[in-house]
Amino acid sequence: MTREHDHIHADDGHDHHHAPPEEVVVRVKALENLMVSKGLVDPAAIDEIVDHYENRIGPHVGAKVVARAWSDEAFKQRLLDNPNGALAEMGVSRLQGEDMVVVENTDEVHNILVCTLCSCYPWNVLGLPPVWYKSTPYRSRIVKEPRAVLRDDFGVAVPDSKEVRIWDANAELRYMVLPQRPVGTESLTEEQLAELVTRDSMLGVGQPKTAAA
Amino acid sequence: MNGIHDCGGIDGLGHVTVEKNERVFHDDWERRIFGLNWAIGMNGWWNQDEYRHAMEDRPMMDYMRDTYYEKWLFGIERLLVEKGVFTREDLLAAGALDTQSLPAGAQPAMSVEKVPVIVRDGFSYRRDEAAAPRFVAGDRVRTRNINIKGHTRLPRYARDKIGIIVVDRGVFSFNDSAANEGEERPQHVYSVRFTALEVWGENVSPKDTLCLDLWDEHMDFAAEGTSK
Repeated sequence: MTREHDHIHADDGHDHHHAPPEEVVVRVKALENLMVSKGLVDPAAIDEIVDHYENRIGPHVGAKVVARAWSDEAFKQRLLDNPNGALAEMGVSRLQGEDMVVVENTDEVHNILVCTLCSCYPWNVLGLPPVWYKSTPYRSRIVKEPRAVLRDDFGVAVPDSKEVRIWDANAELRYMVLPQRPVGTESLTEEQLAELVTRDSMLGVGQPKTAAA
Repeated sequence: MNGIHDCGGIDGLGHVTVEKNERVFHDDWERRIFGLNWAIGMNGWWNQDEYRHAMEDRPMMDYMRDTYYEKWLFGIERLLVEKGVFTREDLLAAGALDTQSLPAGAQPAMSVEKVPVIVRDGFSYRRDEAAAPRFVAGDRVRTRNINIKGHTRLPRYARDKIGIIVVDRGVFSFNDSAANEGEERPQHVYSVRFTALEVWGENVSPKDTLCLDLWDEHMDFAAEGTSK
């Protein structure tokens, strides 16, 4: 069972988030006003960087990388041996993914990503992190009881026979999980494979969708 | 510092709550502080780990209360004041200003044109300096028992533990000294593997492992003896 607070809103299908504290809205506005009035910040540059991470860079970037690795063995080897080079081949950006490591899930090892100290995350391939990844429940528990967190909170069972390997991104390397290619996908194109790759599967807290799903 | 930000292994913080169909930003103020973080940061008034420390070094309950982007706001306000860029009064007074536009001739550190370059290239902390590695893959190391009041990237749960160097990642700026002393002190960073048994004791899977990225100054050779 996945634990979700899924009080569905008919209007947009999104969870309702608590209203922003008025004080915070005022402080942010004051900060921007002050910086702009002094000529130190261009509000249009804020719009521009927000647009990159709200509309252009997200898990679809990583999904394409994974699909190519599944389709092209030579690319997969380059991705594991020299991730920066392989990602550059695909035109992937580098901010918050300047020095990448790609870890491969196998029949023997299941990799999981976390940043216990803050919330370091590979923005270049996954976009900005979800709230749960940044939350202290995830950061505190995943390192100590990863199997229980996966089972109880993400609905993912890892067999006892497999090693669970946690990667705590406590330095400036950024990680991405290369999930295992689902069975029965031999006939799919790279584009079709990319559709199966979920954000959670590239963090190690989920599996790719199956071909039939 | 042994703050609540260093939460790996703490019990009692509850279940992970996964939000369905989560938006990238939940409110417009989150967009603004996200962008301000970069636009202000580009002025170079502080380094990344001074900023991290500014967000961590505060009463535990305040850290727990604030959301992720509220922590960014807190850290930025604090550093602007501490670095003497603005006073607290300047910030408070700015709340009464109408929406401002950029003064003619201003050249902000982050222009619209610079944004795609920042996104494309990022800011690597890898350094070209020729620092000799202290360790090689396969070495058994013991992490130091670091309990400084300043900033460290060695989490509490991984201190005074025996691990194995898995791979040398090359030379990087040292975040701890950059935050605490304003010195990069470039040195090798290694991925180091620890067994869950070594870190947590009994009642964990004997198969499971944890890997952290540690700098030369975080470790010493482990004395002979047993690790789990």
